[in-house]
Amino acid sequence: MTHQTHAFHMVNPSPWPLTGAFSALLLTSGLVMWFHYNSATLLSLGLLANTLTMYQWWRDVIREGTYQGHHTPIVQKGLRYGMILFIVSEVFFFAGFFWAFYHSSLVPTHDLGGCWPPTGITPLNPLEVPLLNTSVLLASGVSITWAHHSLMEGKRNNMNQALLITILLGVYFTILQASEYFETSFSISDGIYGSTFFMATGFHGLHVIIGSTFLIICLLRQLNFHFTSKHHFGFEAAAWYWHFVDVVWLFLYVSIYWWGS
Amino acid sequence: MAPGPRRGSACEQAFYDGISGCWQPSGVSTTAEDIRTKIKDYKIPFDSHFPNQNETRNCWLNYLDFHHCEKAMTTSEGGDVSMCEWYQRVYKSLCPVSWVSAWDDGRAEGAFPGKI
Repeated sequence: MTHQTHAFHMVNPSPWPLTGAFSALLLTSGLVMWFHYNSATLLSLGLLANTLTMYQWWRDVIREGTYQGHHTPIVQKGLRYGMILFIVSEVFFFAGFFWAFYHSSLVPTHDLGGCWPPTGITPLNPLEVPLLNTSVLLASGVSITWAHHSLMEGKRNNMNQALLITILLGVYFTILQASEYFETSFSISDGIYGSTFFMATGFHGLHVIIGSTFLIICLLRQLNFHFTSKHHFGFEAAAWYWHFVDVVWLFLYVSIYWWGS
Repeated sequence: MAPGPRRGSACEQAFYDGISGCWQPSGVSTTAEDIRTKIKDYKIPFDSHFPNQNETRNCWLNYLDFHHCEKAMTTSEGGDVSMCEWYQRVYKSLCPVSWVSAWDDGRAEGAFPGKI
């Protein structure tokens, strides 16, 4: 027999897991050198290696799935499980930061004045830019759903437009949040308030950037006719990730911006 | 939940009993002598608001309460600062000296985190 008699995908040997592991080493040691010894060399090498690995690895996945047809229904099922489990792991990642926030804010210590926000901290007004940010992400959730339905119904123009709107809203959120970071009267080193605020919102912002990047890749693929109305798991994975990012923001907004003020 | 007289009240009739953690009825006021008896040998009696080994909150709240009381007594007419003596004795006994001096300095400079 010269062909496989099952529907699974036996992936060809690939160097990207190794280069990825190497980039992880460069990134971690690079962070240490950057934090403690004011040197960005290792970190830059690590970022470069990481970016190249991601680009080539996922380019290969697209080649295997879209061009070579290896993503049968059962393979796609495995990819779905994978994305779901990854998102679950990210939920636990954020759970840690929320735990830290609630631990510190529910029983504020005496050195903070026994109150939250601590004495001397003026929090951002939750009804100003943070509320706008909430509406931006909620709207992007709507537009991405519109994009998905358009895709499933074969409405190409609608899909392109809706996906573009989603990306623009994501970028708008990032710009707004970056400007808010300049506006705060407190910084990350301003006690436990600063730490919990910037760790939680900072990692969230990073995930918005990651999600937006994922969506941009989807737009490029869509413009190149990679997706069909029935088979577009890459887009679905991006949409799940985007909804996750939105939900995390809602928890952040309610906990840190609103209750925490 | 701070023990002690309510902020701004005249406090001349009821007096907080630190031992049982409840208000004494009016007419049974604890005098300075009783305070001295109760905290003879610098032993602060058990306060059921703070049942655990960590006395941080006990120290902090009594420090705050003394200064709240002192402020209320000095700003209101007919206020008597000696009514605040209990809190002072408690915090002076419980709190680390370095904390008290840091807090006193903080209050002088406007850098004290608590609200007085």
